[in-house]
Amino acid sequence: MSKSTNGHMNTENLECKECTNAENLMDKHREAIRKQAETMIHHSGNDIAKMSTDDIQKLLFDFQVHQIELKMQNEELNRAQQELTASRDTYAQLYDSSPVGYLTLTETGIIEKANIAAATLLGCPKDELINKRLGKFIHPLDQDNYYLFIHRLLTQRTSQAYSTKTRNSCDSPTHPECKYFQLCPDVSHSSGNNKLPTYIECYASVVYNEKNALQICLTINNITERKQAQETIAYLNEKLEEKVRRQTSELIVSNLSLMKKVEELRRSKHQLLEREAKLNSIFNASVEGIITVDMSNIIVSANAAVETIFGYKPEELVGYSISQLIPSSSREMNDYISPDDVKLIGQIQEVEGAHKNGFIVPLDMSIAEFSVDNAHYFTHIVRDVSLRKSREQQDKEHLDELAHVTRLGLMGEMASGIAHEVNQPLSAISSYTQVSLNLMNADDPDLVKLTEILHKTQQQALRAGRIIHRMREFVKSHAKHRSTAEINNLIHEAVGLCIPELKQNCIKLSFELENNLPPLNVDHVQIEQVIINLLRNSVDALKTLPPKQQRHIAIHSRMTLNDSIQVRVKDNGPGLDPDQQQKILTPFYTTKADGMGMGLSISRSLIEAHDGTLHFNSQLGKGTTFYFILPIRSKSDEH
Amino acid sequence: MSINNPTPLVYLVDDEFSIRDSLTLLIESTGQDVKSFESAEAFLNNYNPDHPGCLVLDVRMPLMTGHELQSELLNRNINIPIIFISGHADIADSAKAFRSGAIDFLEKPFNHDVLLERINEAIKKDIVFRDEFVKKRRIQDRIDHLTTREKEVLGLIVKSHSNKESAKILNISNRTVDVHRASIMEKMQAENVAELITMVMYCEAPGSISLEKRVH
Repeated sequence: MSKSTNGHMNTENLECKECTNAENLMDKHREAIRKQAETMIHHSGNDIAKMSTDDIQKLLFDFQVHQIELKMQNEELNRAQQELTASRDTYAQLYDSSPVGYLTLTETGIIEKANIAAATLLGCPKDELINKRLGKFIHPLDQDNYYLFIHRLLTQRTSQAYSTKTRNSCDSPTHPECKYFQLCPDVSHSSGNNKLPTYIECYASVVYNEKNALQICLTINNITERKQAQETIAYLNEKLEEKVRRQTSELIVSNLSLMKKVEELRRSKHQLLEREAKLNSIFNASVEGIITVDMSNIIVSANAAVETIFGYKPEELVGYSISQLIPSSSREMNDYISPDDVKLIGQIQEVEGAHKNGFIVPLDMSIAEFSVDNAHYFTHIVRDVSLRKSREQQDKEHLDELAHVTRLGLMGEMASGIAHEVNQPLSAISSYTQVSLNLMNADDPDLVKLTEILHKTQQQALRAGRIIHRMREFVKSHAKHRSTAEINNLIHEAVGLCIPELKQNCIKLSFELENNLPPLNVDHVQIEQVIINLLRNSVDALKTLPPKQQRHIAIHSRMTLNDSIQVRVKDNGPGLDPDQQQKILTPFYTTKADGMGMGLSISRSLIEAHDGTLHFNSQLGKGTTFYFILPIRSKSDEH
Repeated sequence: MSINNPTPLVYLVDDEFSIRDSLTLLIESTGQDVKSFESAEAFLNNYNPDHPGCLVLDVRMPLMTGHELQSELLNRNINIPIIFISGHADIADSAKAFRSGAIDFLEKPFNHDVLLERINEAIKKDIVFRDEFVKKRRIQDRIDHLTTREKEVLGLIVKSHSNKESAKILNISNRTVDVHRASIMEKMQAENVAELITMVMYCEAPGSISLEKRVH
């Protein structure tokens, strides 16, 4: 603070000195004028001594007038001088106290004159500024601009505005009015830790001084605050812009995602429409009847196929109960409506539909459930299976026919064996009767023996009859005829027809039949046919063994875990190689020279017609086992 | 002729009980003894070669078949006459049977008179055969008693060589041949050369005579 006060006093002293200098100058000037005037008179030659008194008196008078005039003029001059001095003082005062810096530069940029404000701005005492280059005070970065400014000014001779940054330092006294900015008296004084640059604005004009030299008058304004404000604003602006940019980019991103969502929505809407169109076309083009009912079984919608199945037009059905179409359905539906019981959903059930014309249509029906706004709906999809049913029936008949044909073939193949079998009791009968005749021809017929022999004869006749009956039964074409049967009895019956062949081929047969097996509901003849087929396959396999090798067939029957009965026919024949195993069950595949290749495939069909399965396992060189499994309760029993 | 003359036996082999039973009754009713077996193996195990007789044999049986038994009997040099019975006469079967020397091949059910006739025939044949067999054995025994040189001379006699020729062939003197010849005649118990030749021929072809007789 004290420094600043000192500075101020210094400037006041300077001003007083200037005043006295001016007065002295004035006095000297006057003396010089007096001398000049005296000299001029002396040289004029108008000598008073040579003049008349009048003239002298006239002259004197003139002189007196002149003197008064001069005095007056002098007074006026003095007054003007005083006024001038006063104005000059005022000017000097204004010049120095102006908050705007004024600088007068020479053509080469050297400071000739500066006011206090300029000195303050440039950070250098006023008298130290004189004869220094203004360029020294300009920030190095602005040097080029400064010289361009000066150059333009000198060439164009017009006023120029220029704003620049000054070099400054921080240890210079702070200007009272510009307390935020630190200035230094000289660059050399700067301590180097200048933090805030001072910004100035220059207005320049070119003038010619009294010596006709070119001068540059500069007006300097401190615009640091403005600049800083500008910078702050710029900074804030930048910040703001950045923020705006960030937000803009965020917005762009969110906009993009929104657009994507919109696009997705559009697409899904399109897909929905497409799906709806597809579903609609499926709905109407479907061969299956599609009937939707509400929770009280009232038909809500039906598709076109319903008409082909039931004879009603879809619009005829809406509003009516589905029980009119599928009588069994409503009952099931009522059961099913309880939420825990969903077992019918998705399952295909066989139901009967009522056609408009009164006849019954066999249907496959599946039910799907959906709900909209808490309302449950059930879609019934029904398919007319009458064609399939009749085809199944046909297939069954074909199978029966085929089975019959193969049975006849089988019987043909077995005929010689069976003939032999029948011949046995016949020839026994023949022998017995001959013996009886011989006995009766005796003188004293042994009646006891005769009775015994006749009894034996009868047994043999019955036996022959049984074989013939079995054969006839086996060959007879018959409609599907199922009844309960003990599997072990069927095995014995079948074996009975094969015994001749077994004997002939020296095959040992053993049984391992489980007792008390539950009865089966089967077609006797067909199951016997399967057993015979399997037995004969084994016989044929065993025939290929060398004569001395033991030949063995074992028949097993047993209960399996899942309520089925398994029958196995096992031989110790040569077995099947993998290739044969793969083909053995296919029709027309045979390993026998004279075989048709139908036996096993027919057997399989027959077993499958009884809801059973036919399998085998075989080991090359060890033998083959064929076995079938029949369920105790077959599906077809239930209908 | 054998010293003791056992009664002829009819062997019956059939796996079928009713056949065995009825035929046994039938054959027994004619006064013949019958022994029946349910398998070829059982027959082989129980056959008594001392009894003359015949075999009524079923063709089709488990294990050893009728034909197999026939071959087995030939292998064992058992010459029992066979009458095949079959439930299903097959030409190939019967031809095979006849080639192997069967008496007959009868199809079930058969005419009992024919069967009984064949049985009688077969038993007679067996008795004849057995006589011939005994005769042959006797001749063979005598031949077996000849010395090696005697056998050589006998061979030349059978081939109708004179004494001189024989001496020349054997490189011995006529006198020596005469001595051998006399010894042979004595050992063979032959009255003359013709009888000697007949005996040797009979013995050398034992099967040919009976076979010629059997073929119809």
